[in-house]
Amino acid sequence: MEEVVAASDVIEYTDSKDNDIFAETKLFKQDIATAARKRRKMQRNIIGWLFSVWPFVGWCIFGGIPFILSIILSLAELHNFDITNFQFIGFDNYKWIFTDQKGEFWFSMRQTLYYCLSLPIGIFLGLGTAVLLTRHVKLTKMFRTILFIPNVCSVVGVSMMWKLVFHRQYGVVNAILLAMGREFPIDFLGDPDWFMPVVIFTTTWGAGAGSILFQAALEQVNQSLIEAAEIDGASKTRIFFRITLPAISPTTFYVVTMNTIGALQAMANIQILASDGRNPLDPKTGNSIPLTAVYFIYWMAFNQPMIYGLGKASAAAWVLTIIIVIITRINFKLGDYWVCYDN
Amino acid sequence: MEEKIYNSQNFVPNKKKIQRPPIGTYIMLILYSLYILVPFYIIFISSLKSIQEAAFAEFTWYPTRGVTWGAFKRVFESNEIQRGFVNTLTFYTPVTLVSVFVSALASYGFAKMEWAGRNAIFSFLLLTMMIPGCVTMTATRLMYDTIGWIGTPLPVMIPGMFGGIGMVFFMRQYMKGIPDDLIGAAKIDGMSEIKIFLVLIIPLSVPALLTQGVLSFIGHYNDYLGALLYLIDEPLYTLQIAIKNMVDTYRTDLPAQMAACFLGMLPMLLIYLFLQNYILKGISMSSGLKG
Repeated sequence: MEEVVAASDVIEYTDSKDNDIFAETKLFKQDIATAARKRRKMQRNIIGWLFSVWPFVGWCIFGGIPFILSIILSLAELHNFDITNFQFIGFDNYKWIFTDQKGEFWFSMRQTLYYCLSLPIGIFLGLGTAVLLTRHVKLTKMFRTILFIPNVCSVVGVSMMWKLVFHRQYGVVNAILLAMGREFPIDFLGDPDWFMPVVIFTTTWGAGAGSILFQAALEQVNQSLIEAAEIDGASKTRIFFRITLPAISPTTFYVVTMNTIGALQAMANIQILASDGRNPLDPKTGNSIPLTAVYFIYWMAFNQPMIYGLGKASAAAWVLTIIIVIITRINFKLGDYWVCYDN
Repeated sequence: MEEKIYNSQNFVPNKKKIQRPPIGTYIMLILYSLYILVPFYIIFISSLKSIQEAAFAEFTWYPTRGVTWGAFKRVFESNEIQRGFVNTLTFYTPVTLVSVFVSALASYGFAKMEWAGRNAIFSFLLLTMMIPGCVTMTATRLMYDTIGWIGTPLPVMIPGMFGGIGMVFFMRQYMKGIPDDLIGAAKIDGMSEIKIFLVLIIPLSVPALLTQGVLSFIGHYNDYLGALLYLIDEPLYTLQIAIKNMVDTYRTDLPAQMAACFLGMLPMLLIYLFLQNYILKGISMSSGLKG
């Protein structure tokens, strides 16, 4: 399409080349041609910017300003959403995170990492169902449809649903357990030993999105490689681990990386599942704190701003971000060893 | 009797016969499907029970004392759900439409135009996707408070209208597949870029736009955190917040809670069932590995 734009310039240019007598005119025409080309380039740039700059502008206003503001906030003391009360205090908020006697932030961080156990289970389920579905199963389409259903449901609805399923008195799980001979029901969502496993279980319910990605990847695997291996007499498991898994490793890597970032920022489902998101680990003392890191950040800024405040919340958010960046970096470094991009 | 010898000359791959998997595969898939579907059955069945049955009897797989629609009636009585639904539609429909249009505009610029800084801006946008949302949560709220947007629906509307970066990424991949010759021909015919975009590119990209629009609307509809952080006035509550509040107020009325959840999930389930081809294709392409 570029040649089309420049075609008139070329014609003008070749015209002027033939007549040596009018050297000045030639130069003049050349000047006009370059000027025209420059103007066109300028015009093209302006049109390009007018088309494409909007997401960038949007990010600068609604992403960039808060980004810088949160760096400033993390160095400040502020107990309500009124910027006039802003007080600069330096690195005290960060100091609080690292030296706090109760270690509240680190407690929530540990819970977040515990929650990340849902990742390998989810990937196993996603990959497993994807492998099953690419075996020319009848009704593949119906199974695919069912698999993705959890991902179009709202976190509120889904969490409420699980709350009922695991309810101490009315829950189906307890009904089954009692029918099987257990004497008293388990308080799944109030018992410290049961809470996180149940949350992880409910999270893996949504592994279908990963399964869809894995199916797309499995369909792309070079079938001639597998046939060649079959002729050579390789067993099915061997083919799976030596050919299929390396071939889909970019997708696996994508799913691992994105889900890790997502899991480290989990909040809404835990807030709804636990009664008000409080930590069921210590219900008697009443000074329980929220379970995951992002929920703790939300709690510091929005629920208990007088005790903690926006400054501490922002500082905690930055510490969490740095942890996320480090974990993502590790993911990428490890990825060098097992992700294979050439097939 | 002549034994048939297969070698490279007379080897005919038997393509028609598809090898069906063993029965175990079906059993596993059916079990997994039940794992996904049974909870829905449980909430639906619970919403049909009477309060007395739900509160005093222990769990049963079907309403033992007759089916009643009272729970749904109680949900609609308070008017919260209806208001939430209307709010969700009025806030997020314009956002989705505008953001699909703006994203398409930007994608065309990124896919088919040559301009200084194109790659730099695009890489920068991809980089911003890596910033975790939690880091700006508090500061964003402070910003909206300072400019007086809290108490209005603007915080959940305006930022989305500048187009989504993920959307741009996806549509750009799609538009790269449109032949350059077509655009060149339109240019020779004297069409301006904006006209080419409107009469040529948009009709050609309808599948991509529809996919991204539907996915984006489902995301907005289900969004809980954004609404929780920025829509703090009761008249502005979206459906998700309304359901959450309802569940908190109807603590003893289990059927009503479940009816509210069921009603909240139903619209998106229906949209998904009707448009699943677009949605699933969009998801399987969204990892960006195919480009």
